[in-house]
Amino acid sequence: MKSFRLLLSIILAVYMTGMGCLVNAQEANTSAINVTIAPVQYASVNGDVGKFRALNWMKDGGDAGISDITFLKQINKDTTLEAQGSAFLKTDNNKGYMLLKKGDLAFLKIDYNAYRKYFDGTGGVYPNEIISGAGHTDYGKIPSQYQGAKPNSPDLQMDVSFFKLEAGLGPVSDPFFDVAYEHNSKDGNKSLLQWAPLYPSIGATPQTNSASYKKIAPAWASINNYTDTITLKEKKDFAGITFKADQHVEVDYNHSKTYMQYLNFPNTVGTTYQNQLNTVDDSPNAKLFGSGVRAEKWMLNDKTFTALGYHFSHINATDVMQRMAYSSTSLGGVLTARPTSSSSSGLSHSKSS
Amino acid sequence: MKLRMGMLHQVLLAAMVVFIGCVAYAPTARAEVKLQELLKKAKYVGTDTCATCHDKEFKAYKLSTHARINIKDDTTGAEGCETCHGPGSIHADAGGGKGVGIINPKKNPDTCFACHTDKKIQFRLPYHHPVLEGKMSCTDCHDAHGMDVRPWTATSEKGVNEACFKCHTDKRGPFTFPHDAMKEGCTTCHQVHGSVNDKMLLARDVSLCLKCHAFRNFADGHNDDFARAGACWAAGCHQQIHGSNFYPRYTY
Repeated sequence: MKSFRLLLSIILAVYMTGMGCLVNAQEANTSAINVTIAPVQYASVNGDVGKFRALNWMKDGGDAGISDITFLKQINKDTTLEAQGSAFLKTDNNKGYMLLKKGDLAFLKIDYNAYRKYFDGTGGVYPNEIISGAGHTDYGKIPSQYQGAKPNSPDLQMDVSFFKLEAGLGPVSDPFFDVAYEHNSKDGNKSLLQWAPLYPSIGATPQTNSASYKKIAPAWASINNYTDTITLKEKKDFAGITFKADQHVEVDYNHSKTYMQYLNFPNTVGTTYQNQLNTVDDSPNAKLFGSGVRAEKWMLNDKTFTALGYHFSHINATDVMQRMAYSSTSLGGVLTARPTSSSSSGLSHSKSS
Repeated sequence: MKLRMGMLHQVLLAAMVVFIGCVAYAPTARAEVKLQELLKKAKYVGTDTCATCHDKEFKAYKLSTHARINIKDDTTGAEGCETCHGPGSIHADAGGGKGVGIINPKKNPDTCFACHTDKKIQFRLPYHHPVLEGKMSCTDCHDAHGMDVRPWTATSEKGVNEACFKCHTDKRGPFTFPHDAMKEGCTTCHQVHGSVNDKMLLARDVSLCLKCHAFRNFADGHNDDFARAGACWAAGCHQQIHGSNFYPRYTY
């Protein structure tokens, strides 16, 4: 996944460099070009940095890049090349769009968008529920003793990207034949609201004494999720009726590992802690096949519209889940693993409308 | 002395930031101003002119909810397409082209916010989809020209949550034990434009669940203690709340 994103970033960088060269090359010509450069972009935060990042969808600190580049080139009488893009490589916030078209005959379109989503490290902690005297200065963040169990960086952030390659015959806005490939991905760590319980005292059992604890200890998940889609669309006018057909195949791959820490916070410092870390390793995957046909007709001088459509989709899904519990008798002690359950499920589902 | 030097540093830093800001944003402002200046000279040409090239959008638009508010502005002459895209004479004279002498709401949601002011406010709430940040646009979820402007209306052959599942594929299922709330749509629990609650939930605690499960003393022993202890989906309870493949009460 990371190599795919890297490849796309390199393609985008080469593409932007190419655009830069074209900027110089085209100055003498009539091609329309606009470039907006952000040489320095800096956000200084005095307060909760994690909260700032999560709520404003941006990282604090400095960055630089091209905030917008637009290019329009008439290659020959019928053929035009349009391109738009932006790139902030440090924060992985990149966009690219290219359209090559030959009149109303055919076109090729590329669309790419990538950005990073940030989460604060609280994992759903109520800010006002800080336990005093527990000896924890990093309360509300991922405790350092569990960071080893976390596969990636301790920052809760997720890279989201979208890539689409589309080719068609006919006008761009209304092709009679269109084929497209789409790739969506999410990769990183996110906070969850499935908060784990915080035991007020050793021996309190949530299942039997639910009123004695608050469900406020942090929880987070490591996510690797991508979707590949191929879509075919066709349109034909016959006897005054427009017939449309589409087919798409989609492969979804998901893998998430959820971490929920159960903590004991005794009222006095120095009392033995009892810790537990529960993990849920879940891999729901799906393959989807969908088909649709549709007939449309405008009548009475385009005043009346009638359509008849049928859409059928079939999803074949599987899910494998493994739940584990790690426990120790002291804070920062060795966590001993014991599997709690392992399950798998397969499901096939069809829907038509 | 120390205080003065500190103040001097702060003033210099502020001046530098302002200068850099001007350098960084001048081209953006210039491009925007250029378009606005250009559009001042443009004239409204009418929807029929747009339809000569954009036949597909024109026909789809006639079926859309937006077409129902196609009221001509007598002072400017704006109606139909030009209500959102601005006067189109320069665009038409130039022979068209993406963004050539025309407003593209996909790049700037302000056009949508001119009418949908409530949505702009919702995007200003702490937890929101990143439309104002420019990472998404209204058109990623809404087809402004189409009959299915609101993705969860019954005017589409596709499912009510299709717009959400485009990105949130892991929530689609199908699940062996689906949560019935999903059939009503993701908006049963999520305020999709923005919310004061994390994950854009309508409520952050059990009151969200009690919207539907509004009865006390559940048959299997739930009582007020559970409600006070935290949200239903937390602490090893109903964690797989979108649907489960293994257990009908969504605990895993």
